[in-house]
Amino acid sequence: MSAAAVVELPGVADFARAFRRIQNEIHKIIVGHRQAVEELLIAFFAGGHVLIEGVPGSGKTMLVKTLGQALGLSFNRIQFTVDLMPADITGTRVILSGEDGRREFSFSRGPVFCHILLADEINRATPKTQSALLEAMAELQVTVSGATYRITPPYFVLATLNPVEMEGTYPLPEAQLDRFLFKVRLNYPDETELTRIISTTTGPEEAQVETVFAPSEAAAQIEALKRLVREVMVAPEVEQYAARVIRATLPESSKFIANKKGLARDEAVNRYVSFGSSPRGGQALILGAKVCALLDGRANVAYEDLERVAQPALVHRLMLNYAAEADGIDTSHLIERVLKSVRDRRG
Amino acid sequence: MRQPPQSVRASSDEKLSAILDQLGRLRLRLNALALQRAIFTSLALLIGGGAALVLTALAFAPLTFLAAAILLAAALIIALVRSVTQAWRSRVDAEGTASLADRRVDFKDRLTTLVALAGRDRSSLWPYLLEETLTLQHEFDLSRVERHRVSRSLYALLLSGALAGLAAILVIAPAKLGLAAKVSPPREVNVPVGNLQVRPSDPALDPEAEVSGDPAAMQELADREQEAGGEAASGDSTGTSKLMDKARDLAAALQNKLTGRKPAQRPKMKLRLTGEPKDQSKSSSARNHSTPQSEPESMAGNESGRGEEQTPNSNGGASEPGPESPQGQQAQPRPGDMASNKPIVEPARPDPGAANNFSNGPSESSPGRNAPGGASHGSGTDPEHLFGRADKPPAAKDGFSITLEARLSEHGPAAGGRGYVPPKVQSTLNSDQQPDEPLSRGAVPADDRQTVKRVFER
Repeated sequence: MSAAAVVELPGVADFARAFRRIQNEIHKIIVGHRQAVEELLIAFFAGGHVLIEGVPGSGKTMLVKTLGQALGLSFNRIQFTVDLMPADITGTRVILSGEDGRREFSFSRGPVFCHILLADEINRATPKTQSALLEAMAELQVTVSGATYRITPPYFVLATLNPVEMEGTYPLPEAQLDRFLFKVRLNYPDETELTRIISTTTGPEEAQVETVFAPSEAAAQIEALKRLVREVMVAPEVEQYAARVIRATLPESSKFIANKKGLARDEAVNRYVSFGSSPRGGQALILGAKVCALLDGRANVAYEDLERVAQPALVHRLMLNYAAEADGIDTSHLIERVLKSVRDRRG
Repeated sequence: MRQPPQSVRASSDEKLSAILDQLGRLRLRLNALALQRAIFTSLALLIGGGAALVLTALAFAPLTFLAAAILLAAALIIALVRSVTQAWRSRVDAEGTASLADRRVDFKDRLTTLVALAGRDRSSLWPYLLEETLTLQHEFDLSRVERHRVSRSLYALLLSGALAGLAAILVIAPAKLGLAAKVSPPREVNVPVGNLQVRPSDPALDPEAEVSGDPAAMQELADREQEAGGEAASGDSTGTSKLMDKARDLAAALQNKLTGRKPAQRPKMKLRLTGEPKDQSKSSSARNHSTPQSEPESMAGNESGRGEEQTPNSNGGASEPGPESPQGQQAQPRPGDMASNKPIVEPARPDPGAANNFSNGPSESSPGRNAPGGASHGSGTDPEHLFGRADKPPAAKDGFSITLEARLSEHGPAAGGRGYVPPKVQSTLNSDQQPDEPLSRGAVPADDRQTVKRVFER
């Protein structure tokens, strides 16, 4: 059932077409990782930021770079290290001499001022430096010495995490983790994909990525598509379903739950989760589901759209306790349980 | 957000009403099915439950029937409440109809969204949703979402109807075929009270015989009943028995109503107790049981000689076969029977263990209960039986036993009425017959008494 073929409204059809084109361009360079790329683009059009977790060499940096090229947007990369300072990210005021010899402070913009920012190995910087990104990510602005500087949308932060070599790293604080819409995991490629990677990256020719949008109009067109996402309709029942999913991730023992009515009493959640998802998790679910609905040619969110984005939207929002670590419990497994319990309650 | 022009808005409303109309028809069908389900299931439960009640009434004894009927009624009430509740829950409103249709035809919650947002501020994508849904209207056609017009619970109703038909056949057919008339009329049996085992009966059982007799026999019966059930009755309250009687009467009345049976259709054997001495009544009662038609003759007595002629062991002792043996061990009341004040009377059966009676010695035996010429007499004079295997009587296959459950008749002396006086029957004896006189017990020589006693005690 192809709804796009039924009604040729430019918005919905254009969105799906643009999305698929970007996907195809990225896959000219990135072999495999189809789900990760799709989730990345969903987060991008939903207006959020993405945390990418993957082992070294899995193509994290290449993926972000290719995305920037395909979108025709400005792209910056910051390699986070332990001695990186906030000013290295946001920019700083420097003294400049004018032609008349007068000296004055001038703000030198840091690398955050771009459309697509790759914060490589963000967990290697100190929390102070990591927090420098908070304002930029949440409010698209940077305040330095009392002056606020706006970041031109679209703005998309992709932070990478290296799950190995944890010595000397600073795990991201929960508050900062919560600001990422999705967490995308890049797994090892399978044998076929690995063969293709070796073949395409060691030859004389390099694949060229074409820009989907004209550079002069790219930002505007992308913003229009992002506004379209917001127009997708959600039935109150579906919103309630998203709220139930979020509530189901909360352990009953949490002292921050004022009203425990309607909590899904899942034994595993109560046992292994110390903190459940914040309301931002619900926003992530709905926004991601809206993009999925548009991709499917629909103007309404379905329950299955919510379930489709539940993993990347919630996996970094559930704080597991030591019991979960001891028992080897995976967050994804818990999310599956939560979804099943809520689905069963829906009937 | 730019508002669509008026003409477009009017068109949108028409499209919306077309979709909502289709959903309304679907809702009507779903609710009709829910109503049908409630009605059919309730009827099926009522009819099936009634049929099961009748079948239970046909199959079981009153108290069993009463218990089964109570359980059946409880289950029926619970099932009825559940079926009505489920039907009430399965009714749908507009949102429920849309949700159900979305799920059944995998419509990706378009209808749910459309119905939910119909009266609200609409998105710029609303016309798209409307047009798309209208274009795919055939997807949620009534025949696709719910093709049944009649609830499938009709099958349950038909099944219960079949069950009711079966019950009706079982109730009506015997009356139509005249099976009831084939029931043999009540027999009147004369039984010497001395040959009866008496023990309390199961209160769950219906009495199948009426007992009557002369005052002495009835008194004897009452004594023996008291003796047999005395220990049991001492620990039981008569209130329980009365309660059981009432319950049984209630159940029986209900059974009769359900099955159409009349109490008179259940023939009861008339048991007339006689106070004959035990040795004389042995062959008499045997004959009475074997040929009830010859009862008047048997009442006349004079059968001891014939009894000896018919079987050499007929006047034998404890190890002898036949209905004559006293039942010292079998007369013990069973624990389950102790709650009743209604005795079960049984003609005496052969019992090897009855040899214990002999151990009391001939001088201790009373003429009424342990009459001379009874078990001990025969055994004591027959070396074969004296030293043979007491547990394998040679003519055991010739004997029989019958268990009669009886309740005291209101005409009997125990009920305060006048005692039954048997009619005097005069019949002349032929040349082979002798007057009915008990055989005198043979005396055991004094020197051999200890030896005989040891043998029997062994």
